[in-house]
Amino acid sequence: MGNAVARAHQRLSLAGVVAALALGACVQLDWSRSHVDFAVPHARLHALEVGQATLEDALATLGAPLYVWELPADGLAIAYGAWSQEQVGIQVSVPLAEQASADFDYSEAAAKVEGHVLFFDRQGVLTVTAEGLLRDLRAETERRPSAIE
Amino acid sequence: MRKVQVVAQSARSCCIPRSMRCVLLSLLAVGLSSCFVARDSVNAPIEVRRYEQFVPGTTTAAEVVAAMGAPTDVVQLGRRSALRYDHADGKTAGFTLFVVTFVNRDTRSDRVWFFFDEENKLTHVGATLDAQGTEWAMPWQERTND
Repeated sequence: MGNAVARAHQRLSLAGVVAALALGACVQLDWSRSHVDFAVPHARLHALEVGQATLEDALATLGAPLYVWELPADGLAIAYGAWSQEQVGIQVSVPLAEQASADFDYSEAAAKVEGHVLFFDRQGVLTVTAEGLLRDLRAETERRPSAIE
Repeated sequence: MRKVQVVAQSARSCCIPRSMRCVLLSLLAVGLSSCFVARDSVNAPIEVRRYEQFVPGTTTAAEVVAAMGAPTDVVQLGRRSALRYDHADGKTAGFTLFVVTFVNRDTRSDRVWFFFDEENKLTHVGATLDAQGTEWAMPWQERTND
């Protein structure tokens, strides 16, 4: 009787192992997080006054920008941003839903980077700041490089 | 000595049967065997000593390129220009526990911009050096910036 119970226990345990392995092969829960760089601290950004701060002040306060581009009337824009993504999900081996990859694709991420853009006039004085998706802010303001004689 | 015997006796009299213990250990081994770490980087790290001697108003774009090598990006700003140098360091850590996978990826950059005037003389330098602070972490851990 005792042996029979022990054997039943053993079979149950083995079944548990097999079930766990099988489940692990087709169903996965994942919690992934990706970060690229750090967002500019608001306090530092607000320390730069429009009409007063210069390009030199901005670079000294905020460091190197992510992007730089040309504006009309010989102005320039510098952009600061960071990217992060957190994902909690269920992954089934049968692709029922689109699954984001934990691998970082910089070009894909670059399109989603949010941050701040600082606009400077020809003299290098801060004229305005903007916050949002850097790709959109750039597309709205960038001037095509001018021809140089 | 007596204390050791007592501990050994209590271990033998543990309520988990031997076969069950084997199964549990096997499960633990399977569950914990899939830890991984990965590291990747873009470009060589930027050395501060290479650009700290540059003098705004004196150093030319040619001298910057001679000292720093080819830039990652060149931006035309009307008749002025800017050069970007960067380096990124990424660390990925993760593990799978049975059916649950945890992955964390941290990427930080070193980036330096050099701005030049119409005569290709250096006017401004902006630098951010964060790549060395890249961390191995898990998704629930707080990210620090020292």
